[in-house]
Amino acid sequence: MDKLKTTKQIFMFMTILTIAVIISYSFFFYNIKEKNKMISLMTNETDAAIQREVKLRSVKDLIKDTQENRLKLDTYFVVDDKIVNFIEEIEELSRDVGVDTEVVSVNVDEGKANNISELLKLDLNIEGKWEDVFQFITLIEKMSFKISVSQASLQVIYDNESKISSGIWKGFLSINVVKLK
Amino acid sequence: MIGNKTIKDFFGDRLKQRRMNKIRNRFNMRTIWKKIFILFIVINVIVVIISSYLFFKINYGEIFLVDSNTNVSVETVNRTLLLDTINFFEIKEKEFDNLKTNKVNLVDPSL
Repeated sequence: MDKLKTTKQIFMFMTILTIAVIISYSFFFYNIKEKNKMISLMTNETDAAIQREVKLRSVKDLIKDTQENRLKLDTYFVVDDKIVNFIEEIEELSRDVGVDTEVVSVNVDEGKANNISELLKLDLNIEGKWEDVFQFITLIEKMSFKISVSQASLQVIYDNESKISSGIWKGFLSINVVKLK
Repeated sequence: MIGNKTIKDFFGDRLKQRRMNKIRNRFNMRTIWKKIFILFIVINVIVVIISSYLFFKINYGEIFLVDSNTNVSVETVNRTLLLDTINFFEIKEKEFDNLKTNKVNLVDPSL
């Protein structure tokens, strides 16, 4: 009877011990899982930080390398404080080729709000010989800006008495040029 | 009377013993211990397998990982586009200079 009692006690003890082991096993398992997740998260963050650093360095190098070209590129666009210079340049060009010009209007088409550029619209009255006017328009299109002639209207001036062409052409020119905001 | 009682007791004991044997046969302690032992062995084997699996997975860093989105995208200067653009303007500049110095002779259509 005593032997049976001892066996029963051992069995109960072993059962309790097993339950305790299972509980502690689950606890440690959960602990390891959480710590591993945390380590994984920290590793990911470190990787991202390293990637960001590498990218930043490469961007810095790229900006340094392209500085000269970027400055050069800036000169090909009209900026706010250079609008007058641009108009003067057009007027000087017209004088060089022998065309009389008169700036009628200057407008800015702002376009979309998130765009970095906008359109500077310039309307001109022009007068001169056919070949000069033609050269003037061609030269405007070849200016080192993002420029285009959107509208051109020309008509020859006739002599009132003889009704023969005077060889002078008069017209209207509308120019669009990209301007940085 | 006494004789009858003795016979009854005799058969009663026999019946009791037979019933006890039946119960003992049904709850054979040796079989129960055997079953408990096998159960413990199975539990331990499962625990060892799971532990080994976890150990190796954790050791190789393949378990309990958090998905990462480490793609860092930065909008940078497109060097090719920049050079192409400068090249485009330089060609324009050359054409401008060329046209300025070499005037094209055109016949006035009105004459």
